[in-house]
Amino acid sequence: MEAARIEHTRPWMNRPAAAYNFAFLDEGSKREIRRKTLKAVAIPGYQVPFASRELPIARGWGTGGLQLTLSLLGPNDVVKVIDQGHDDSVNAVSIRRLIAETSGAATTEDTAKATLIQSRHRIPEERLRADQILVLQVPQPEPLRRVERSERLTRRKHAEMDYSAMWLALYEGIVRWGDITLGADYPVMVHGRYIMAPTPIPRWDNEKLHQAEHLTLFGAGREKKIYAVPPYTDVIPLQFEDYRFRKESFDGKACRHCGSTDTFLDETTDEATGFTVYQCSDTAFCRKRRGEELP
Amino acid sequence: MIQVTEHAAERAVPTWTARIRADEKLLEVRGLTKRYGPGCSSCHQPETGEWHSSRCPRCGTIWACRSLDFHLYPGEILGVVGESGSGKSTMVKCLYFDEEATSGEMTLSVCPGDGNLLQASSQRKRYVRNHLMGMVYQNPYLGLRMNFSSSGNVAEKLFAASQFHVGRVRRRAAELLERVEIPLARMDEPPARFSGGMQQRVQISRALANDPPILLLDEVTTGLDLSVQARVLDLIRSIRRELGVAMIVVSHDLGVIRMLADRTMVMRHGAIVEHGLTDQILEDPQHPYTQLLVHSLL
Ligand SMILES: Nc1ncnc2c1ncn2[C@@H]1O[C@H](COP(=O)(O)OP(=O)(O)OP(=O)(O)O)[C@@H](O)[C@H]1O
Ligand SMILES: [Mg+2]
Ligand SMILES: [Zn+2]
Ligand SMILES: [Zn+2]
Repeated sequence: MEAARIEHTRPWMNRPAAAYNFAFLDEGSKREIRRKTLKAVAIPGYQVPFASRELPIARGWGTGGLQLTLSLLGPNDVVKVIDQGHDDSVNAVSIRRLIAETSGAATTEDTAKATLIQSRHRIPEERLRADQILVLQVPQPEPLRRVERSERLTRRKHAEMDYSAMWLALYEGIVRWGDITLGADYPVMVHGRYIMAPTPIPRWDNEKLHQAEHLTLFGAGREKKIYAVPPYTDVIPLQFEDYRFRKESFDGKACRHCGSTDTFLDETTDEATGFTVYQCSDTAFCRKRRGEELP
Repeated sequence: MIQVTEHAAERAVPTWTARIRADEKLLEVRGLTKRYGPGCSSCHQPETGEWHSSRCPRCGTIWACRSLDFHLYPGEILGVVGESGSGKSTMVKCLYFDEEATSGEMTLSVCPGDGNLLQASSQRKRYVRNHLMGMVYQNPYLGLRMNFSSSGNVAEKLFAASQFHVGRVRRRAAELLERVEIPLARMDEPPARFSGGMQQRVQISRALANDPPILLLDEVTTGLDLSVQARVLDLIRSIRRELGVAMIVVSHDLGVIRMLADRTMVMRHGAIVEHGLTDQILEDPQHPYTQLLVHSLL
């Protein structure tokens, strides 16, 4: 029902498909994005500026990720789109539809079957393979923004590897609260060179970027930046020798649907009992575990 | 609050110490020039002759520093005195790379391979700022993060020197802050809550964090009450005595210079008009401008 309503509110749906280039973007734009993507892959963790295009969805709703996906897409690709772990949120559905309608690419909800996965706020639980690309939507590409407002100065700090202000921010948290208090979007050091914002994924997902088999690309539409973590790259969360990075703990908790104790769990309230319960945040993975066949 | 526990001698001795020789110039500056403005044909060789102001009457360019030559020996205190606008702050900011010098040379005996540091890469300059020089600014707002903890202000320098053990960093910060008489109980308070004299002392402890051989102090006591001034001056003298740090002390106050400096140079309109042993300059000033300064002090 929801999807049908969206179809009518999206202007590109009402025009004939022939009015658009394959995968919506013109070839010039795609070339620009691919060039900048190659540069990003060559300099892991470095933010490459690119000429961000207008898309028929609002900026800040994943246009950076979408532009990456559209520029990478071929007719044989199988695309999966997720938003905070769900394939069926409004945002995921409309992005998936735009991709499918403008390219004819097949879509799936099964992580293992996808060649291209666009996501926001999560990395799928299933380990990604070398033949898969993960595209993450980025709200704020600059990890140093919390300590330095000027773009000119953050660029200089990256160039000079001048990261003491970032360490100071971690230190102040420890002085004030007794421990590192950063949650999602926990800053990471990429291959011993650049500090990078992994996007607001939970800390749970950070290790999925470290020495991964797959390529991860990050696109920020509003901020006009692309960056990348190529396969087999070190991605280490910032931590002190005596105050270590720790991922979220779900000790003693299990998914109410599949019983999983090794996945990232969302907290929710059982409608019937009013009790707090837990369930897999990656809903497709949860269904697959329960033996369901995914579309 | 996180506890600070005592631990002796766990820091490495800085690598430059072995290279310092008492009879060798630690810092040497030649032809240091800083211009604000484009310059013109009538001021393009500003180092020659006496000027009536540092401003070129034809093009309006300010020649804040005109071809300064000086040096600094290990453990020595060099005073820099001169009226407002004579170029003192600009000079130390150029040495600390806060301002880009228009021309000139600066060499440090502890990094002989670098040649002219004014032309060094930004990474190299950063190394010098973090390890070889400490700076105390005229305005504490330039030198401190007022709303971060005082210990954090010191710690930031230690992070820049790749020390990432919070316990050790806090012990070092506590030691440095105690050295400048900031009570341990207040080490995590932000400098914004401190008095002017305390802020200057936090600046000094931050500047000393990585044991630099050189400290640059720009009007460190200006604007402080007399009693507070005396305490800061005592502190500076004891730091020189105990740590053997060489210093460039900038002040428009000859009284401060007399208390601290072994040698003094007098600046006017962007140029050095006289330099020599502080005692000599105070007893027997040669330049008419210095004579004026000294007599107004008496
Ligand atoms: N950013 C700037 N742009 C233009 N002119 C400047 C700039 N900074 C300093 N100047 C000028 O350079 C000259 C030297 O200034 P500087 O601050 O170095 O003097 P000073 O000796 O430290 O004076 P004070 O005793 O008042 O601190 C002055 O004429 C000043 O107006
Ligand atoms: Mg000044
Ligand atoms: Zn589950
Ligand atoms: Zn001129």
